[in-house]
Amino acid sequence: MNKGFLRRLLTHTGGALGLAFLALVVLVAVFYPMVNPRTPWAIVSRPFIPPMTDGFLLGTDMLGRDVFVGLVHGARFSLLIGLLSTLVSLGIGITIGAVAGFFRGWIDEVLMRITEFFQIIPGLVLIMVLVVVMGPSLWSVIVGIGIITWPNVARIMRAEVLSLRTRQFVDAARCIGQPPAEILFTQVLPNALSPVIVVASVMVATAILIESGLSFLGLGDPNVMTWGYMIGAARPYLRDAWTLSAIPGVAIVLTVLSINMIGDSLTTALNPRHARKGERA
Amino acid sequence: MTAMNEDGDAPVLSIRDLAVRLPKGADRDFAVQGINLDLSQREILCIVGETGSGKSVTSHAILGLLPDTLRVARGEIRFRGRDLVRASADEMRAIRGRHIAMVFQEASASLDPVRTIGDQVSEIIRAHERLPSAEVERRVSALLTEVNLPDPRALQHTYPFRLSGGQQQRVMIAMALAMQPAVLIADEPTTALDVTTQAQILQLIRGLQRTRDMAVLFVTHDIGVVAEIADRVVVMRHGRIVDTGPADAILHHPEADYTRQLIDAVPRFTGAATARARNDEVVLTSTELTKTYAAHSTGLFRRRPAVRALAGVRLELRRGETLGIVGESGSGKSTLARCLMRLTPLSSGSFSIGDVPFSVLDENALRAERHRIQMVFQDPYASLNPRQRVEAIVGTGLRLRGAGPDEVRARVKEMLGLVGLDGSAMDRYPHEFSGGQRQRIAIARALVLEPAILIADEAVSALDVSVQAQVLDLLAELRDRLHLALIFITHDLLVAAQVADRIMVMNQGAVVEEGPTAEVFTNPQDDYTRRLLAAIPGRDWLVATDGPAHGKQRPETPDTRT
Repeated sequence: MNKGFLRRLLTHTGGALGLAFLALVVLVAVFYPMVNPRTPWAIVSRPFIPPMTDGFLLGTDMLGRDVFVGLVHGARFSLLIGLLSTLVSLGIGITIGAVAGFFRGWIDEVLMRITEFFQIIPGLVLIMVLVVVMGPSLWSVIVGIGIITWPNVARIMRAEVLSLRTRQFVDAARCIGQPPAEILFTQVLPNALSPVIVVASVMVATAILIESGLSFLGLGDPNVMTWGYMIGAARPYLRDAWTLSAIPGVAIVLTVLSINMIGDSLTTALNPRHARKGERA
Repeated sequence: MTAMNEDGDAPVLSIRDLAVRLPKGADRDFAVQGINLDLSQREILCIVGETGSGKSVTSHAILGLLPDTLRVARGEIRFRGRDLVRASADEMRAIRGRHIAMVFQEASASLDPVRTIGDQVSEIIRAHERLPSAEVERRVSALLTEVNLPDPRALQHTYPFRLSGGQQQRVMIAMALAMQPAVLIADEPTTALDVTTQAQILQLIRGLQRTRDMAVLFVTHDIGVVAEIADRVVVMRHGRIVDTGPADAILHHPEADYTRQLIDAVPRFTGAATARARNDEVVLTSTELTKTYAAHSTGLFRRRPAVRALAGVRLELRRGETLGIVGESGSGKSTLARCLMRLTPLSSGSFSIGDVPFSVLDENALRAERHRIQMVFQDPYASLNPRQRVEAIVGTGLRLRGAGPDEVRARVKEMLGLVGLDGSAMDRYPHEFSGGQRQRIAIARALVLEPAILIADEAVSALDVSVQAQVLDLLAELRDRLHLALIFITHDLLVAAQVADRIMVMNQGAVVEEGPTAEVFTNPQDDYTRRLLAAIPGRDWLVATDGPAHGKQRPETPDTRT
């Protein structure tokens, strides 16, 4: 990643907008709790204060908690879960896909059957079982999301590696006596990562959605305020105080949308043809 | 340039002051500029030039086929008085195929794989004329006959994949001729073909041009092809016309400097040819090597017959010697290289390098001995990892053999110097280099391990002729300096003649002829060898100009980035 790459990313309107919005969310999520260290669970006033009244930007919820503070803390954990679970998924997926594609043979067969096993189980059902078995906590949610999303990464990685391993420069590396594992790491992987990075950006968004779904069902970490939890908790009052569900919902929509837009422009920015043109000395 | 040529015909197509602008950030402002040329009714005009000369841009501009990023900035292209640059999309559609037709380089990419040949040829006719289908079919049949395709009736109902590359190109030519165009534009139509097929296609185009009285604009990079087919020649370089004239004058008495450089860079028969190194130590010996690709089932019950890629090839090679292996595609020459490199396992036979039984080493022992035989691959754009710096590309082999970082750096620098690159190249990435420079990097990577044998598999065929000449010189020089045994694999007989002491001609996996270069070229014993030699484009011209005046004055043009 270098300056040329960042410049290409920013020349896309979608990518620039997405990046700007995401940066705003991250800044608020990181710095607001430092300014206002109040916990989002604290009861600060009477319940059901509508937004923009009595000094509460987004009003209070059914227990009299500050919705804005909740939203900020929700952003913290939703983004954290999105990033960490994507890392877990990438770790498993890249390893399995690269090994399967590079070494072929029986290893490939075994690993791909395992991958398919995970692909045919409905994701949401599997993660509900996993979280219930491991006990609902931040970590079980992160690991669970990683476990149900890695097969996609593995398949893309395998396809990339399969095409790369027959390239001339890989043959050339064999000719100079480079051992297979080293060929995989120095020749194949660096060239295979671009599409995976693009997929990973979208996976962050998917992970936020999955976590929201889990929290909505009451399977999230009970000690953590997330957007999904806020929607779930406000559900019984949908007819009296619809803003309580709508505000975190809009937050999810905008965040996921901006991450997807970043992903889209990453696809173009990482295209080696554009890279070659832009970076030629 | 005059509007009339010797025959007194008015030009059917004339280009005046054509300039095509390149997008911002390209290495020059115009793809082509100041282009003036006339094509008369009864001639074949060759546009010849190297990569980036603008020859394809010029030919594509005529039919309005430029990519969206390129725009005609000024000038006009007149076809029978009509200016094609300013013609509307509808007008152009009526002209394309009907009055001006085009044949492209890759026939396999131009044909629709899921439609029959007859369907595709008749589409051209139907697009321009309303005719009863029996009449269309009769015309298609006549066209296929005219381009010498066998059994035109049956052929109409077959799909492109059943045809060879040469036959596909014949179908493309039939499609181009369907509406009896006044002008045929052929953009490198034979570049992807084997030499014998190329000779047939050139003959076909020449014949059709005469019988049909067409004007042909033929774009090529190959001076041999020019000598074979051209009436007049236009030489292009860096987007400008640098020379123009009748083919005879250009080829036999070139006046412009660049034309002379291009012509001198063409390899000649009298190359190395002196038998060298007869008594040096033998570095490679083999028993009969074979490689058979196993039959794999294509359906539930059918089995494909096994393919014999190598059918008993025996090799012996001495230090300081160059063995040229020539053959057409599918002859098994690349399979042989891959088997020698142990990138592909042999089916039977064995070989040793020095006293190392190379063909039977296990994986670990093999890695330790691989430095003895190295290879330079065909495509310098595919053989270098785009994400590694040159230092890593060239130095990895040394590091694996236990050299420390400082030693690696020093040796890489020395090696780059040996192949004619600056030491500063070390910290750059492959995309910053031209094709010729990349091939030098690939040669450095192979030679830094001090191999006894270097295999060059079509190592210069992706390069422009002037760059090709430089790389050939470099290989010969390094062979002598490092006392290497060189196996030079090529489809190009002239290149082989230039570098090889001994020639091995391969056909369908077997060696059909082997002997000292001069003997094979002057007195070929095998029929197939004779056919190959006869098919070399521009053969007569090459022989005629192969005197001392042309032999050894290859210009030392710098390897400019292209």
